[in-house]
Amino acid sequence: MINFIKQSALVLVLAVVFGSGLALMYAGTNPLYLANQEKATLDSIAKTIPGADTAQNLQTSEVESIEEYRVYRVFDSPEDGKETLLGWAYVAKGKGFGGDIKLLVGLNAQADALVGIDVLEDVETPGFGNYINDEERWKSKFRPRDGKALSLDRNLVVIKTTPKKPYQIQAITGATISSKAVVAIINDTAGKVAAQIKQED
Amino acid sequence: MADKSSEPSSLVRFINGILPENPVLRLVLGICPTLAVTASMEGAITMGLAATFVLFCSNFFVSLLKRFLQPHLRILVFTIIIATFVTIVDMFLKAFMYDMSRTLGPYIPLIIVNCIIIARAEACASKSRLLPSLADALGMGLGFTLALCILASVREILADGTWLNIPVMWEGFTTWTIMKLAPGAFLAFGLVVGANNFIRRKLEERKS
Repeated sequence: MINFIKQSALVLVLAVVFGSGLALMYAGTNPLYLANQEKATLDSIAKTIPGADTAQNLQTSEVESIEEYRVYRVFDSPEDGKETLLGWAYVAKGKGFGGDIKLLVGLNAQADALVGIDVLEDVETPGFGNYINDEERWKSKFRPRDGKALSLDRNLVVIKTTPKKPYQIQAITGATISSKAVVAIINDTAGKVAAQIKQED
Repeated sequence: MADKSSEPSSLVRFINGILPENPVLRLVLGICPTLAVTASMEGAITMGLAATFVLFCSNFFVSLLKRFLQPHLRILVFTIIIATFVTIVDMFLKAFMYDMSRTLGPYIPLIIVNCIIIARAEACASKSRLLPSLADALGMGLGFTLALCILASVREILADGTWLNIPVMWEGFTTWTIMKLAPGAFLAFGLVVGANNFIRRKLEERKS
């Protein structure tokens, strides 16, 4: 009986001591972790929304009334006080080839066209599917071409040959599934989010 | 695991872990992270140091507590200790090395099930005094890091033509994408273990 109590006490003491240590560590590091995540999203917004990289004082604010997605209003607010709306960005998630893909999707100021995307998280195959992170091979396809942004009026379509229509997106060689997955996330969410943004404004 | 009657000294324990009983190349333990994170040198170094830290702390506490460890309690206590320090490493990376923590993804929390750590707690720390246990942890940890770095060097140089992100191959070098993928990990692992065995045999032949 005594032995039993001794043994239980050992495990109990260890659990309490190590548990408290972890709680302290968590309290110390979690704010930094959240700040890192926030910074990664903001960096990604700056890369995705045209004009954000040259803005004098880039600001973002989360649109809190839209609960389903995290939607950011992206604007430049320089010292002289004249605010310009640069666009909107939101975070969307979907199934890829290797696991979930988390995207940042950029919309123009009118919220009626796509201006760029960035990949926040993915576990696609290195050398194939993870080229969705590559600007030249993939992300540039979603940027405005000849000054015209991709309209949200019709869904994007993935094809394997050279695109002839603006809404056609050429798949990455050897990574058709990853390519289709990214486009499906955009098709599924962009229209809905844009409609909600327009309602807000 | 060699210790039977007389306990080896701290120095012997330290050196043993690095090459003669290298956990990856000789004992073939901890293969999951070895295959998973050796696509780049940066990942390999971080994983090696993280595992060394956990190993050091776990051997420290297991050796201190060994008097109280009843046979049926020991695995439970090992797990509490190991899980605590792995979680600490995970939080540390998320706070101070965010990009690396994203690259390594689930493999940092998975250090909890790294066989090297529980094997050293069982085979060494729960039977040895504090100093030899710590020396053992450092030796095994460095041995693990060394093995990861050798493997990562082979893979990163062939797959990207770089070493620690510094270009090392000639211009126009055709990169071997396969070395970045799972098959490349197995190929490189087999070749490195084979090379290690070959060198060992040659050295033994020369001695006798």
